Amino acid sequence: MSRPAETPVPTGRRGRRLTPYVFLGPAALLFLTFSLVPIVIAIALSFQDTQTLGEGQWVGTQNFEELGSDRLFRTALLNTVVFAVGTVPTSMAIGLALATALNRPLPGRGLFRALFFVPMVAAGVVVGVVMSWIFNTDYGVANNALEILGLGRIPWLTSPSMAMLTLILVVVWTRVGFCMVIYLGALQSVPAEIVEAASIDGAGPWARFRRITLPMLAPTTSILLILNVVFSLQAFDIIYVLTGGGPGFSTTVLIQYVFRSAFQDGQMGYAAALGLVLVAILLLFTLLRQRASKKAESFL
Amino acid sequence: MRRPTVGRRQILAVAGITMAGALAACNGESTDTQHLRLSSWNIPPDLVSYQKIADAFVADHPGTSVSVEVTTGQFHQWFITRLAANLAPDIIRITPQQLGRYAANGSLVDLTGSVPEDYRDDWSEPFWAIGQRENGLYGIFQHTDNFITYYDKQVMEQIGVQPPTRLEDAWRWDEFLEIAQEVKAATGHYAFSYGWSGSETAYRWMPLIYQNGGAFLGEDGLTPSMDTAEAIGALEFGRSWYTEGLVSPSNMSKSGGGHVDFDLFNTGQVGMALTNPEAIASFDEARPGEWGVAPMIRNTGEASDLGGNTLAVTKSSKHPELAAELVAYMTSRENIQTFCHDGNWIPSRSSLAAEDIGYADHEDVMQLFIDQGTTIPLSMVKAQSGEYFSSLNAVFADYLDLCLLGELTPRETSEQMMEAMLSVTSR
Amino acid sequence: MSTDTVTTTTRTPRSATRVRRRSTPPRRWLLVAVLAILAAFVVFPLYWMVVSALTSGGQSQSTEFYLWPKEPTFANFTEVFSTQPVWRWIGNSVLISVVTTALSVVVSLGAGYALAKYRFWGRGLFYAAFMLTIMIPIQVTIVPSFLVVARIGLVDSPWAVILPTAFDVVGIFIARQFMLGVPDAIVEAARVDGAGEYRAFFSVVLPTCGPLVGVLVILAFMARWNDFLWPMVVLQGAENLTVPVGLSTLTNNPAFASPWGAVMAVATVTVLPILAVFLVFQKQFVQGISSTGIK
Repeated sequence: MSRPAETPVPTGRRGRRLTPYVFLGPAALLFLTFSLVPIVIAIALSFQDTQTLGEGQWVGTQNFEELGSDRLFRTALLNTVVFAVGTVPTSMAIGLALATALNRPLPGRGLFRALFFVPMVAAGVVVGVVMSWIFNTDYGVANNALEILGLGRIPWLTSPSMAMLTLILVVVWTRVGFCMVIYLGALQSVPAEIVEAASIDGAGPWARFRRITLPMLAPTTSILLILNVVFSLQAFDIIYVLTGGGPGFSTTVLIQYVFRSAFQDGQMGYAAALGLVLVAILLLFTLLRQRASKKAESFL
Repeated sequence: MRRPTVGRRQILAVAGITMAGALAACNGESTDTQHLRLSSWNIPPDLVSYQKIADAFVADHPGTSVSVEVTTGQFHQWFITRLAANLAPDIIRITPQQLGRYAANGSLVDLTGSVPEDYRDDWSEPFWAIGQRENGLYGIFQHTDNFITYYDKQVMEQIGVQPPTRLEDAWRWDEFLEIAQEVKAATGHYAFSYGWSGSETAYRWMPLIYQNGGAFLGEDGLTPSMDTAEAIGALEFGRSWYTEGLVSPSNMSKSGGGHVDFDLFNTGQVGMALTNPEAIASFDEARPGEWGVAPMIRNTGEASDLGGNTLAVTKSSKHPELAAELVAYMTSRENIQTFCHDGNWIPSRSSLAAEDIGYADHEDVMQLFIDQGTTIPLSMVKAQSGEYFSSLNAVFADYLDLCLLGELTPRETSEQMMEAMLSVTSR
Repeated sequence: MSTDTVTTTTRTPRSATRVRRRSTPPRRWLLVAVLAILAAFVVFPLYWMVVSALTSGGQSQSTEFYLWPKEPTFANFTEVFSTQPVWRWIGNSVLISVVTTALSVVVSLGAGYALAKYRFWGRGLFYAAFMLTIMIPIQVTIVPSFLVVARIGLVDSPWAVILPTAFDVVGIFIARQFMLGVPDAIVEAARVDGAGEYRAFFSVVLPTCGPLVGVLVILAFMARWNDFLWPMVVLQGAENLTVPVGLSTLTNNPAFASPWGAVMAVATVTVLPILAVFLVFQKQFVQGISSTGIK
């Protein structure tokens, strides 16, 4: 299961040197047109002071300096970290547990897989509203059920200390299926022979999982980790509808602040600076991750 | 990328893109008709009304055509992006709170020359002030709504209270709090709900400041004035709703969840609801015949929420004069009357009463809304339709929420809100 | 990963066949029970969406616990389908998703192959730049992107949605992972037989890509089906919207009360088919992912 050594460069006719560009061509063309140009503009904007439409003024690093004294930015940054730490490992752990369970023959396995996967396909706005009904303190079905069980009502979304937890719960719910499916795929290519061999050597189920399966899943984990961090840092719709960033600032995350600066305040330059900070965090995370795992090829 | 093979591929792709563009252009306007696009919120009867009025306009103006389109969610994001490429619709239906920044930054067209002189006489000063700025007229207020007090008839009977019917008898704050205590006892849950729907609508609470004689922004419509005793008093009043358990914590300036205010009323958890005319349909469906209406509460002053929409012409329009003419046409007395009749809206024109509109139902309720509309203060209108309002409203949502939650005292709220407001207005 | 992964699809795990011959042991049933409870919780919010759609006014709230509306009604469905062009939205969504998916699979296959099997100038740069694009929040680039698309003259046509989203970084990434696992030997063998670079790709590499294409199709289709912000700014006119954009015209506005019953009805109509599709194809999908070598 090890990654193959660096593919040898096909040598020979000169034409071959052009071939990769042909294969890459469509992607590169779309990338240059629709992604690179806007990104360069956005980077340029981050060094400008702009109103909604007017011409921007170059202000050097002023936007970035302002970030330092912006309390809302600090709150949003902290919330973003809490949100990411709360959602990413949880989604992956539950996803892996489900995948492990559903990788063996079970009655109704296909149905289970589909059911765990399906939250991923619902639109964010709809999920946000339905969840806000379910978790309404006064008339939500969650509290109605708890009341019947004699457990009392929980201020799911109305208490600043609970709201982030509820939000994390909801987002994990949307994310678990994705992690499960990817892990399922990975688990299927763990050779049964090796696991069986370990079993014969007397390794218990937990030891087999920890010493054999888990290391073999490491590359998958690495990719899922980065994808999940990206998803979490850019989660917008659900938060917007479910809590509006409240109560207070308890669920205000960076991406919302980017949105607010860009479109409510009309400060595109400042929003671009915020966005780049978000990218910097992601890049830093990716690089740290790469350094930690030696499998540098696995991502960047 | 410089190699010939790639070049061919590039050319092909570019050719493909250009063709697609050309095809798209063919769907657009042809050169000899003047085409206008009007964008409205996606409310089916309104779309029909607009198209009907537009068709009558087109019949009078050969060589023109008008299409009615729908505005998507995330208004500012959509509109700013469209304006940036000069691809915004010609005419936009927009709330007063959204209008100000676009009027100030040159995104809208001055309608002064196209609007008949006598129009101004039929709009109250506050309603006209929504579109009127020093350097021009940037929108005409088409229809309005505001907040009144809905109540549960059975609850009122139970506590033996006869709610007022006339504006001059409206409950004062202390009276209202007393009644609210009894209502809370009667429902066993809460007393009343307030008609926010998400943090974008935090401004719906601003009338309370004005009811107490305070103001969000000073007379110039620019200077933050949340540091007055009146404004702090209003925040204290708001905070008491929650400390005394009169309002549910799930009903706050930032809470999501659709119409929490309606739901609390429909599920019998509150006996009163301070909210807008859209509650009528919801209450009629869930609790037909069980609800009544009273005027909005008041204190030393009167005030209610500024709801409704304005019609404005964007700078993207290639035929701004024609578009302005259509806006004037759509806001004629006759057309406002038809529009409000078909869509069940409250007219912006002072000369239209409920009986002139001929509402299908609840004429008395609609008349109360029309009357209540006269209490919307001019200075609140100026504040809400001002240049920085979308930023200021976000600040207001933040700190009001913290105050109502009890994370900040009313005094701290006032201080911190002022600081945040000043950093916006001093940009 | 190399040879194994490609053949995984055809290999039934031995342990699986062995267990199946026996009847399910009691401990398995316990696991099934636990999973069933968990699944009930997972599905509940979507079930609640359906309940809301079947409740008049769409607001499934009550102070009392209930699981099924007393008087279920299809009124929300009939009303929204008669007042909004929902079928057009669905049609547009299907058309845009299908065309974009097809294009993006082709683009991803090509890019993945180039990045995995060739060493050329700019490879690392392109790959790094591609990855960077998924990290930048769309809120920051949406206005410049729109200006570009407007300049090319695509706005208000489906191509404005299709072309920019046909570049799908996750797809390229997955394709590259798969291609890394295709043994160089088979490509070389084709070359030795005198096949050109393109014939080697089309006649030798592509036929092994079946599962990869399956995964790319499903992931791309779902991503495009749920796309919201970008289509929202480039599409215009009620008849031309996709489902998520159409829904957004009904929600999220301070100007009027959202008809949640209608929203839930449309959401129900659009989620159930996808659930059905996944239910039918989940096995192929999982095996496809397994063979792409994202692991």
